[in-house]
Amino acid sequence: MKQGGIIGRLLVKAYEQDRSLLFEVEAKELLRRLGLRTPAFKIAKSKRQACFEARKVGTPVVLKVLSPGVVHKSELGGVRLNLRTRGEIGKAYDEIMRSATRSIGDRRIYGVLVERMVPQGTELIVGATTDEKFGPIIVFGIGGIFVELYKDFSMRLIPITARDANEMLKEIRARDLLEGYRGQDRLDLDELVRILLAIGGRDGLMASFPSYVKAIDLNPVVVYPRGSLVVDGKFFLHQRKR
Amino acid sequence: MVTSQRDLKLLDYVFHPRSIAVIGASNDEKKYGYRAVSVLKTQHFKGNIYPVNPSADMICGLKSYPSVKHIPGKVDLAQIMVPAPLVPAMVKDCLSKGVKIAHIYTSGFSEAGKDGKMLEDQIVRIAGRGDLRIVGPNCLGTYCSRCRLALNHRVGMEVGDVAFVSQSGGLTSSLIQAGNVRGFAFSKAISVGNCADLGLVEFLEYMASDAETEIIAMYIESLRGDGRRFFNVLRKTTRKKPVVIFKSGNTRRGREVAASHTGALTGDYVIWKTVLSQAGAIEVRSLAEMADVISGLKRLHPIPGKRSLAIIGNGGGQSVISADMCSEFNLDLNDLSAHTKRKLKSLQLPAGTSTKNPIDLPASVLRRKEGHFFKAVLEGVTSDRSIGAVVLNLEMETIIYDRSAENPSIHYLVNMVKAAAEARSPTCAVMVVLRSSDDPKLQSLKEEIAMRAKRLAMPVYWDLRSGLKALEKIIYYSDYLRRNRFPKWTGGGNGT
Repeated sequence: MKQGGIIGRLLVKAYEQDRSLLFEVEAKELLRRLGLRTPAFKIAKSKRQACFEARKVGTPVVLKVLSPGVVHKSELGGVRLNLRTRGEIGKAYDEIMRSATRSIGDRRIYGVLVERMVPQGTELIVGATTDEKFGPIIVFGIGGIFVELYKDFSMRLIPITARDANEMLKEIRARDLLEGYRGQDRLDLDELVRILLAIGGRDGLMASFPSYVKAIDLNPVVVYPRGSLVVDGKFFLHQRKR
Repeated sequence: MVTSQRDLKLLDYVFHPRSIAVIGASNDEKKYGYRAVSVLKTQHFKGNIYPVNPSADMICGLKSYPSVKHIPGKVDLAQIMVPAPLVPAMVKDCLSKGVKIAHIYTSGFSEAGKDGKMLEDQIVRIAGRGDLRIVGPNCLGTYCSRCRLALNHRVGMEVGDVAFVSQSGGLTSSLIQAGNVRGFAFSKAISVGNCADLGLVEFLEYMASDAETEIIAMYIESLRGDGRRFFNVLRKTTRKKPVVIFKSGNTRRGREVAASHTGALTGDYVIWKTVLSQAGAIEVRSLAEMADVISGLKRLHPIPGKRSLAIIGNGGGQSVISADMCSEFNLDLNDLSAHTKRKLKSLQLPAGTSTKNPIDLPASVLRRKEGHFFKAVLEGVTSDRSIGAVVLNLEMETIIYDRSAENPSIHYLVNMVKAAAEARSPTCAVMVVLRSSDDPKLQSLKEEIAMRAKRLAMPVYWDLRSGLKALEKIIYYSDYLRRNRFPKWTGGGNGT
């Protein structure tokens, strides 16, 4: 991965602004540049616009609060799922604004993200962190909001090879889930390996930009029998040394 | 940091010094300075010993010198045990004398706080002005069986090929003692202390290239310096030699990236576990487990690579229990091949014998022909190509109290262990587990069996769980080598 490419420029900009987190829209751009797919989305700053954009991305949609200060959106009532009608979308918009304003104040709320609701799939996590002692580490496991409850994951020091990635898939307790549990189709394991390498491979994001990217949470990555969608991707940055 | 072959060569002086100066030697028998000299003397260190003390002429019957500079010959290694504030001056003396290694026993340095840390940094700076390297401070001694460099009076000096790099001096001598009983011996051992200069990574690198060492054991509390370098050196080492690591101090770290899910998952110990397994090290959780694994590495022939086992034992309950345990350790109890079953049938085993794996043999079969018949049964199983190891899971008391309740005899048992040693095949190792009650009367019999087993190079475990756990860890290592297409490890030798 090139330092001077679009990804590099994006990271440098956020770093120079001394941000600890990429904005959601930047994160989506970065994911796309890494060759990972994200759900279609639009930004809306009013109830009316939200309804309008929803028709463009296609219903059902998800509304997510758009604010630089919020890391875990669902915990403060900033996410609404499975909205189809104008009525549902409008009501959800108001509710999100109300609860987000209550907890963070309205000045830091840009609006909402109107995102195509993704089809049902298996929710996994691909993450990375930087250990003080051992440096960058990649994590794969069962994703969704219960990640810390299940604690079902495998881990490697970065960089990893394709073989490491394949082994990581087999090391979680719920490995049968990936192989097509109880008559379900087998998930796209090649796609998962590709994602793991995009983050943790020799030429992946963590190994290419260790001085910018400190941690990554792709959670959930919804994986299907063919392909995947990164529904939420967070990129944590190192702080500038003062 | 050791980076070149020349640096590694320098570490030879830690284990093979031609002469040692004991700085802080004393005639007071209660002091460490007395003990250090007397240990070198009574354990017959192969080299010159120079006690250093400004106010004594003779120590332990050896001529004493007022300072290291007054010693007429060359000094390779200085053991420094004067109080902490005096250490910098002694290090300076060592530097001007041309000493190669200063091994500082004294405590009261970085482990004791800020002032101690400053003193420690000062020592490293002084040594850095020349080629002097520091071991410690705050550590116990070094052990080298070949040049009879001992840790203390009681430690055995049998020459072997296991090396121990440890952050605890106490554990070092405990593991050497354990080896004495369990049938493995050491080439070298070192307690590294505060690792102000030379530390875990340097000694690991040294043991990796040491021709006298085939198996490396490590005890780690916390790693000073670059974790990545440790990982890279460890990964390179395990390609050639098994490294058995006991990591303690596994509390959760203050999490830096608390906002990320990934950060919340990755506690300190989880990362260590990842580092160790990714680098191909064998992780153990106690000193006993460490001894179990080393004993297996030394004595299992061939080193098992398959997860498929056969268990042969006496007692139906034990068969069920052992099957459960195998599943817990992810070991497979495969069906025996049709050929093996036919072979066992032809031996005319009595009714009630199960030739399903685990194989349950009545005690009468075990005793038939004074235990020799058993060999034919075993050979039938060890020649089965699908089985990587056979575990004999025997209940001792049934066998030794056969003739009378008063006079236990290990005659049959010893024959069985012998049979087990002879039944090993090029594709199948044999491990012996001897279970018994805690009856103290059995203690001496157990010791006797252990001694016989040692001579036969047979691995003996006193409970099934320890045996299977060690076996699983060894198979894990073989599997690691195979997955990475590295050559098989064959350093176990013949168990001596």
